[in-house]
Order: sequence, then C-alpha cells, then structure tokens
Amino acid sequence: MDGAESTKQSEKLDGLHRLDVRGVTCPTTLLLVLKEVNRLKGPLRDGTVRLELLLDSHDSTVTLPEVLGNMGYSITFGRVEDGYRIEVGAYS
Amino acid sequence: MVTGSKSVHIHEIRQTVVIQSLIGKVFGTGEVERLMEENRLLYERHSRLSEYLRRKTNQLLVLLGTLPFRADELQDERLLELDPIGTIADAFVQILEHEKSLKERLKISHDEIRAILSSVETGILVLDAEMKVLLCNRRVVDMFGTSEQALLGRTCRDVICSEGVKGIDCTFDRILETKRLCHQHDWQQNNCHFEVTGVPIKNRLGDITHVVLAYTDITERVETERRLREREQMYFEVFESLEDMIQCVLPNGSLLFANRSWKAALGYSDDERDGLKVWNVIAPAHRSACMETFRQVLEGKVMDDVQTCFFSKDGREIEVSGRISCSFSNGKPLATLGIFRPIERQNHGAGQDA
Repeated sequence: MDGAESTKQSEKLDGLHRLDVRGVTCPTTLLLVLKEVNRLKGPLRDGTVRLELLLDSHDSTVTLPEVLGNMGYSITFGRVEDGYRIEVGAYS
Repeated sequence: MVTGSKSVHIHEIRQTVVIQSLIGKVFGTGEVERLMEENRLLYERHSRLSEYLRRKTNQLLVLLGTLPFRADELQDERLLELDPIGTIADAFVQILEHEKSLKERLKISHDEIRAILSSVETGILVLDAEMKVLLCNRRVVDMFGTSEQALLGRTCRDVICSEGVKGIDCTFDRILETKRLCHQHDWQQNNCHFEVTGVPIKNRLGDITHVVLAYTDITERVETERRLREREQMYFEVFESLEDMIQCVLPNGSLLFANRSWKAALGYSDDERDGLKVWNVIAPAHRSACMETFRQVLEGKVMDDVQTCFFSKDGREIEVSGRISCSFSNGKPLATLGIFRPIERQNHGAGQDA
C-alpha cells in the first residue's frame, strides 16, 4: 500500500487541527506535515490554531521538530501509546 | 489457467492488438507505426520528467535534513499530487522569513549588548577559544591604554599581558582547564590591581567556544587597604608602648584587644584573653556598677572619669580610673575603648610631683 494513502484526513477540534500520519514513513511524513503547516501558516503564526501531529515514524521524530523549529514554530513533543505526538504552535 | 491481474493484462494486450488492427485497416500501417512512435516518445518524456521531479525532490529533502525517497516510495501520480517541490519551496519561504525575523532580533540584541558594554565601568573582553579578542568595550581600552583596533583579532596575552602571563595566573588558561567560571581577586599588571572574572560560553557538546573576561580596577581600594593596615599597625604599636591599660570590648562583652600593660597587670596571655568577658576581669564588688557603665557607653555616652577595680588572674584587685568611649557604625556600637591607669600609680606620681 502506498504510505500516503493511509493518511487520515486532518480534523479540526476547537482551534486544534489534527493530522494523523501514523503508518506513513519518512520522508512522505515530512511532506504531508509541511503541506498542512503551509496551509495553516497564517493561523498557526498568529496563534489562533495549533496543529497536533500523530505519527509512528521514528525518523520523523528527529526531522520534524528540527525543520518546524527552523520555520519558527514552537514544538511540544510527547509519546503516546501507539507512537508519538507533536504539537505545533506559534513561536512565543 | 490465468487469473487476476495477469488475465487483465492479457485482455489489454488483445484490445491493443485489435485497436492497432482497426487503425491499420482505416489509416494504413504507416499511421499505426507513427502513433506507436509518438506514444513511445511521450512515455519516455514522462519518465524523464518523473525522474527529474524525484531527483530534485530528493535533493531538497536532503537539504531539509531528512532521507530521500526510496525507489518504491510513492507512485508517480501520488508524488505529483503531493506537489513536493511546491511544498518544500513554501516551507523554505517560512524558514527564510523566520531567519529574517531572527536576524532582526539578533541585531537588536547586539545593539543592546554594545550599549550595555559601553555604559559599564567594568572592562570587558570577549575572546574566542583561541584567546583572540572578538569584542571589547571602551572601559577595557582605557584600562590597558590600548585601542580597539589593537585588541580586535589579537590574543589578549599579546596585547594586555605583554610579559606573558600563563598557567594559574592566566584566567583564560584556568577556564580552559577547569571549564568553569573563574575569579581572580587580585591580578596585577603594570602596577595596577584588577579583580578578574572569567565566564566560559559552551556549545551543545559542552566545548568552550568563547570566554568573557570582566576586569574591575581595584588599585585604589588595594592602596586604601594598605594604608589602613599601616595605620592599624601604627596605632597598635602606640597602644603597646603606653603604660596605661588599654582594652577594647565588643558589645557582647568579649575582649577584642588588650595592650601589653593590661596583660602584664592582670596576668593574662593573648590566648587566655580571647576567652574572657569584661566582667571576668572586674572585681566582684564592682561588677554591677561596671555593667551599668558599659550599658551607658554602648548607648553613646562618653565616661570621662570612671573608677573601677580590675580583678587579676592571681586574685589581686587593682583599682583604676580612666575613660571609656564607644565607636559606632551606622548607629550600631562596634566596640568600646577603655584607657585606665592604676590609682596607686597616679597617687605615687602625684606624691613624686609634690
């Protein structure tokens, strides 16, 4: 199965957008996340929304925080039962 | 028997052959060959474009610090849907915007640091790991009688420590050795005294990349302390040479100082005196009056004509008269100073005079 096809649609919950990329490997994970971050650039920057990423690719846990940090976003990283959770928000 | 995708493939081939046969019948065999060649060229062009897109995407992904695509990762159609070059280009726009914003903030911070460095009375040098001066303030230039141009890019050892201070006397060397903040209370250079504080700046690996040295000129303070010590010694010698009994007493009654005459009259050594309270050396019958006098002196009263009776180590009573005063600091008593003369000696002196 093509990794990107297993991506679940992003959801919006009270200012928190969720992108579930579990089952997708790097670098496709990175491209999908960047696409979503680019799409939400304005509200992410002004702090009206945050983006919650759910992933299980270990490589992405290194790449994503670094790339998103270089783009000027704040990153909160955590582990969840079946992978990892990264919350992307405005840089304070 | 053929099944599944294989049977579909065979079916497609049969369809193609039928179509080719029909086109051949309608337009002639030459037209079929032309279309087939055109189709082959289109396919080649598409493959080249896909390969180019994948190669350039991989180049950008590696630049972002991630892995390139595996050969089997994402079909061409899905790759086009993801628009990787557009996506990464937009990400780079954000990276550049953020870099620009950081650069502006760094510029402001840099200007703030320059302003702080210029306003402080402490001389400051920022050195790299090779001891070369990267930054200095006006004060350090004045302190060492040099210029900013002479300092920048050269080692502070060359410019400031012309005699080549090394090892334990060199704050920079000590910081490199200990990797910790270093403080020199009295570093001397060209007859001047400096208090030097050195702070290491480390990278993520804990290696020292820079050292900040802060110099405070304490020459005047050191000189004042020296003069005070000399004066103290002079007073000590004067007190020691007097025949009067002199004692200094702390507010808690401890004897801070007693001169040679006092110790000789009462029979105590310096070590023994350290453990005494003033009421230990007053005759029992005079103690309560002495305590009252002591209290009044601590409140600021100067007692010009005090008469009391000392009690020596071997039990002798020595009647004395004298003067007691107290020194104060910020309104708080520091110590009382008592100067006494045995009454017997005073009378004897008066008799001689007579």
